[in-house]
Amino acid sequence: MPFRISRLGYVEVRVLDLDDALDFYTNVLGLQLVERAGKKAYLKTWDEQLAYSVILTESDSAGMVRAAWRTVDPEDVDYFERKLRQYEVQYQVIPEDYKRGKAISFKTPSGHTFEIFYEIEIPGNMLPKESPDPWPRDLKFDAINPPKIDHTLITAPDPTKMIRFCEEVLEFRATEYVVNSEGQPIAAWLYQARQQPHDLAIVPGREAGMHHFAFHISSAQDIFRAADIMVMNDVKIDWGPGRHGITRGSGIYFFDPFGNRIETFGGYTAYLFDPGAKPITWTEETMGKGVFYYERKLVETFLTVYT
Amino acid sequence: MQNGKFKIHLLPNNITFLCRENETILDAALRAGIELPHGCTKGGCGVCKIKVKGKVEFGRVSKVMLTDEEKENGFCLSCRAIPLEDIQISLVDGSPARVVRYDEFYSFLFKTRTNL
Ligand code: FES
Repeated sequence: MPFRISRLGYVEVRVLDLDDALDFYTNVLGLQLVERAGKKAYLKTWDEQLAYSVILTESDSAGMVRAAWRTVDPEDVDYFERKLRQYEVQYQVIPEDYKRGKAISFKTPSGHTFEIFYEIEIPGNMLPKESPDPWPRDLKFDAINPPKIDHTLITAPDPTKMIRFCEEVLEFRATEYVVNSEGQPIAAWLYQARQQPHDLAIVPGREAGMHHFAFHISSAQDIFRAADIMVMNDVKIDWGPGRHGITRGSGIYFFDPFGNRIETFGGYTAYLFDPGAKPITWTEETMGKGVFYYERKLVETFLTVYT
Repeated sequence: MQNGKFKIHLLPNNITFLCRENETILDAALRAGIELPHGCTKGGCGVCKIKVKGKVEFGRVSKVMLTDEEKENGFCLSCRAIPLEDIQISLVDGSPARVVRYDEFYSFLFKTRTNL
């Protein structure tokens, strides 16, 4: 079976104040502002080709509005449209949005709004197309500046059902699971065509909850640099710098000024998951070490704090 | 009010600690060695919700995590709420809060923790 989704395209996140949000997301995190339009702002990381990867929307609560998945080919959007129909999932066709073409939009069993799209403007990253240097010179020197968006971890009241939906209907494949005593997956780390440890992860929790969304950071040293910048800017760190057993990634969990959790993730012994390889499993007993490898137990806020 | 600081009385622990001007209830509690539950500290997750008697400035909070009705009925998010007079607080379930060390003298040791 071919991969039909390439990656997490963008997330839309609610913020309580757009001015403060932009100060944080551009000056501390180091995203590039594409455009501010009314109560929304479109941003991207420096190494992304697509028009944007983060939308901030001013609202009276925090949390996720939608997560959008970009397909590998244009026909894949129609493929998923057929598939949603086959599984009797209600969906809407959104003919266009900011710098983007058609998308199909639907609610998942976990209550999240997901979109699947292909067409989007591709202005390129911040490097020239011809003979580029490895990184741009005009980044803010004291911002975190992650090169790309990585994944999102969301919560589901019935995680087993949501995991099955993502696997069967959206054709995500699992790298790792946490299974309960009956062998049912209650948390999963799922990937698409990038074959990285995950594009989407699911843990038990409230309907439509956003645990975090994550940006890639290449080396462990850069993760420590990111931690330095967080402390310099009085950013509330939730956990880390640390290591996950699951995904083997290193990361930091921290909060934006409105309580949305973000992760800088990477610096890991990466694995490319071979299609067909058997997923790794963790149990409820070993889950603590799986999530927080050095602490060997769940940090208190992990299952209770999210937006 | 004592030396320009408001008093926060914690029930059922039945202890009182002081809040500096413009200091949130959570910051004051952690500084005094009282572990009020908290997560994001930014008004977004709702984990720090407590009961409060007395006037507070609620601060910038998620309306989903602290509804207008809750504001009227004596709830606040401790990570954002700033006392405007001497107040009384308790956890939502009425249980005692965990006290690490209740001692004004050592409270400076906890100062740096408030934003960790
Ligand atoms: S700690 Fe998250 S709202 Fe107060």
